Amino acid sequence: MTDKPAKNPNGETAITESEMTASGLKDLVQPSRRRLLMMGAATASTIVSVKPAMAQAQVSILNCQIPVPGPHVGGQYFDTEGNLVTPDTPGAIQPPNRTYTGEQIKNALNGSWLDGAPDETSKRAYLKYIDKLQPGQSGFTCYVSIVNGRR
Amino acid sequence: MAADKVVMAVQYSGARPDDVRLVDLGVITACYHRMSGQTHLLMEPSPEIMAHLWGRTLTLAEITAALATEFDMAAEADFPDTLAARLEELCAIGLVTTHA
Amino acid sequence: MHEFRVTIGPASFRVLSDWAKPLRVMERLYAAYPRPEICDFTVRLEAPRPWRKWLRPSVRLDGDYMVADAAPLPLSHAVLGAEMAMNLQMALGWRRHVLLHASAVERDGRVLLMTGLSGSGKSTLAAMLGETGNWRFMGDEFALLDTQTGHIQPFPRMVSLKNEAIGVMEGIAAAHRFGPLLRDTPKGDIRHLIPPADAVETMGKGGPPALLLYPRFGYAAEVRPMGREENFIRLTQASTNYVALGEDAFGALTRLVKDTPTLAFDFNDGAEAMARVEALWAEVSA
Repeated sequence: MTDKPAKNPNGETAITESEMTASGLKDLVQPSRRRLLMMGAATASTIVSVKPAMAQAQVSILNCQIPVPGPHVGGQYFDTEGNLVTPDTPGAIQPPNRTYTGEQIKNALNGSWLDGAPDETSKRAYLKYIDKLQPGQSGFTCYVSIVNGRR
Repeated sequence: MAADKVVMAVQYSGARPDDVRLVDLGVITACYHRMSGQTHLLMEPSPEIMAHLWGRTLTLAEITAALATEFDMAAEADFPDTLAARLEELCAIGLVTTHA
Repeated sequence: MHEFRVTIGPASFRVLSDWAKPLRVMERLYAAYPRPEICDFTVRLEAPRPWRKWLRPSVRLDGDYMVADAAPLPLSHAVLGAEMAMNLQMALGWRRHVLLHASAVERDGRVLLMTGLSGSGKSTLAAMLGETGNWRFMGDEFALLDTQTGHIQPFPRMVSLKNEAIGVMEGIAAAHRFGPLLRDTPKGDIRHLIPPADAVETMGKGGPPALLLYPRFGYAAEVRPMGREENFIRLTQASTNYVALGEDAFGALTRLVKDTPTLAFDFNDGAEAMARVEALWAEVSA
């Protein structure tokens, strides 16, 4: 089902129906009752559980930013998986020591290059570091709102 | 065949009625699970399975027998499989518990 | 620090600022609103470093509830920042009602709710309906659902008009009702519109929802029924505090879904949309 949306008053592409529907719900309610019962074990999950809406992602029109590294890192470096290691660890990758906008990280996740990353390995390490951020650490809510927007 | 017999003998325990709040929205039943604070939307036969299991423990064979008439599925060979799949879903979210 | 206080619907805010000018703008925009003694929320407009008050002035937002990663805004957008920070207080901190991302207008004591994401047209439609006779504007962004009564309470903040919607409303509302034009914000051009006088005077008064619409601007005009299951799931996603309010929110949303006729509503043109809304309202009022 492809829609051809026009631009809305905000200059944004209007939202397609597939984006709006909760995962699987449309498929769930279309089959007739008997057909659903017949599907048996082969059916994908028939229970839809409510997930909390991210208030920050919905409300925020603020340009969000992600410092790499955040203040909690305190001089440590990254390994290739974005974990924190001491600088003298073999293969340790130095953080870029800059603050990225949500937009820059979103683009990097989609494959484009990241300013300040000398090579692909470093870029991957920075992105993995960001992916491992926990609530309360600088950049966490910014990252969540990018990732939610992509789904 | 022996495996089927074992599967049919697995026991399932339902929630107590106070553990959940169900609201019939037509095709879907909305379920608030008090212990977890989670909300789930259930398609039939899941609410019916839960109803038969209020504060009780039944085997898959017993649940199948009870619901086969209700849903006019007595003739369907894979109805037990369907119910087993739904029960597994219900167990995964904690609305039903299973014992060997 | 300079201070400004305002009551909007059932909530009260204190805005502290390193600069006087943004608060003078807010004083003008909110001139008709009550000034509270005690405030539910505090919001701050701060210079990131003391010299940034004057040198390339930059506003960092802070408050009781705040997203830590927000990038600072230029001083010219301070009022926008204050509004966004106040919204965030409601979204993250309000517990007295289920908070819905919805606009609302009222007629004859009953409420028309319109819900959808940014860009759906819900805000502009509500603003337009509020300007024509016979609809009382209740809010463009948030509607508050009372879990005990099932009623919708108003939250008539400054209407936040974006891009093309600005021109539309400038053609309808008098010039003195607008705030400054803010260009090139992260969401494009923005201009605030002061809600009509009756919206402010009656902002303590709610009503039962009689019709729920899911507007979608930019599609050929069509009205479709909305299944209860889809309605329910979308409403949980349209609410920032559904999970936090637990069983009360579950009861309130299931009740809303069971009791309120709900339609998906595609439109391409404002005037056509208003006419369609009138027709649908007449049907549920019969």
